[in-house]
Amino acid sequence: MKADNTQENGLLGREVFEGLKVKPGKPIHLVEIDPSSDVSERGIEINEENIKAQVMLENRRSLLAEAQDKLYARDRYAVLVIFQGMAGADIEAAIRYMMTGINPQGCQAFNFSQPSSEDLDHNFLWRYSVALPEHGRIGIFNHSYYDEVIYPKVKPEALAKQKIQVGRRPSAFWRARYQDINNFERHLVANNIAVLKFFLHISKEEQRQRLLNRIYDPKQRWRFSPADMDERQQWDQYLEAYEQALNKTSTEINPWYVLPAEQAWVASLLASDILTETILNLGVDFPQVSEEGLTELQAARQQLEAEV
Amino acid sequence: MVKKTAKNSDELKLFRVEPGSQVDLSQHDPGWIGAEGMEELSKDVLKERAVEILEDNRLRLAEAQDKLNAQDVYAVLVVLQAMDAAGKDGIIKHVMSAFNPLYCQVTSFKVPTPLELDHDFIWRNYKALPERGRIGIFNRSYYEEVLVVKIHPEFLEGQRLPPGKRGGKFWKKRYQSINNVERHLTINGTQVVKFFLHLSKEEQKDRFLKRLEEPEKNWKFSVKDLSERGYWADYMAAYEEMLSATSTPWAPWYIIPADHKWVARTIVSSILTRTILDLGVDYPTLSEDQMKVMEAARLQLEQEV
Repeated sequence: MKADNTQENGLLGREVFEGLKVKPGKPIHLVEIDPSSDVSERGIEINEENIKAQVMLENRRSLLAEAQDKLYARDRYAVLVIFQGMAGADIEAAIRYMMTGINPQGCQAFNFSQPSSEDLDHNFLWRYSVALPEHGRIGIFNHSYYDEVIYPKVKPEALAKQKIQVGRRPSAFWRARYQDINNFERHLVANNIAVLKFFLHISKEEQRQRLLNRIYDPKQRWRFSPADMDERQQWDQYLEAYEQALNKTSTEINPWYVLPAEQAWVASLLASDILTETILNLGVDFPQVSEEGLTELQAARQQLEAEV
Repeated sequence: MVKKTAKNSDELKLFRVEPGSQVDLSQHDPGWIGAEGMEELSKDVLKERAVEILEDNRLRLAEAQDKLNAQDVYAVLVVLQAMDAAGKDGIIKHVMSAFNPLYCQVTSFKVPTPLELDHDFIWRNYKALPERGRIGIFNRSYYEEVLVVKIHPEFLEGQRLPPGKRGGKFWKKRYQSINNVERHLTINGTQVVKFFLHLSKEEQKDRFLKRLEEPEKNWKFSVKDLSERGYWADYMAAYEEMLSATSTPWAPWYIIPADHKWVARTIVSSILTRTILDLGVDYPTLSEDQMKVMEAARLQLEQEV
């Protein structure tokens, strides 16, 4: 059991994080999880404008920044943060709220657009693996290899581009992909890359509102994509695909967190605290200089002081 | 300090290396803290004002970046060069952190790999260039190829170049390659903006000593930093020649006084803001067809129960 740093560091409690986890062997049903969620139960007070959550997030930005500084200085671990969600879940905003003000040198974020023909000629994890964070860094995936068990599952014709067929036993095909993902993530953890997975959960009605808001707001219009409307037509199928993916790939070491995302600040706040706690639990700290190194530093100091 | 007036482009000029001019770094004060006419202000007042401007610029940078990304026509490449401890990392942390990390990428170039050495000297930088709509930051860059490589000829040997003299002509050709690449980038929508953080030798000493004295900063110090300090004059000469040869109308160099971190951060943020806004970035307008599709979507969404 890892040390609980939450209290001492002023983060939301461990039990809050536990409440958001998809527990291995205990399948969840997304329709039963309230996407607006009574967040006050989780120790977050909000009013309608989410001001409280925003202030809380801004107040603890320094905590994340400090944890990241240590992660970067230590240069031994990396953290991969995966965000998934339906159209309109506004992953972008969640990332922006969480990471603005964080040193960009220790952080890299990726959007995965349409795969290139080179990507398609590789296995389905390839293009994501080349984007993994190096030691010392936080890597953020706005969508990820989890799309590979969501989109083609609803629209199997997408697999044709990968020159792959589901075959006669679709369930076996998808099971193999879940397993590939689980093994891949286990490999990452074994090699000092912690993996955090956040599903930003919104309701169908909230999606409708958000898509409409994009259309109404001239500054947001360019964000509107007709593909989002297609996705909405198949809301139930997508939600089911997500549900299966979450249930099959939430493991003890790499659990999924379902974040209530109807208030973007709340989702960011939760993600930020879980990320900070994860980094602190890696036991990162500023590197200690060895005895030998200290002698060298001492010599350097004398040399500098002796300069005229 | 940089004024918050409409004529902000003056500040660009103040620190810009005019193309074709000969740079004499001894004529640039690394300890500069204020423009003419502001001498009567105390350092504390200036600093306070600088911090305000920086905060203001951070908001403007975030907005400019959002438009850059929405428009998806231009990219911005920020090149940072400086002696050790000049504050490059601090600039990234305190200025560039204003950006949305989804559309901003920082690259530090370490010791080249054998594969990189088997390519031309710009190749590995090329691969790290920002895509359209994004901001790329090079924490050191291909300019090291006319700085550290010039001062330590053994690095050049490692590049296994065809035989020939490595005199003035050789470096001139490298400057030319760089200018041409940057011109190519500009023509294709990548604006290049280059900052040299100008630190005094004395201030470097103080900063090194701080790293040595404070245990939590020890890890930042490398003995190599001290040996490079021994080549200070060579570096200054290499910087002068490089700044003179590669400040072009399309990709100018800015010499930023860096003895005071707050000065450097504020000036860089102001120049960067201006540079992005000067591209004319704005939210895109949708085509008639796109508007039709959106209109249909709106009706459909509004009618849903």
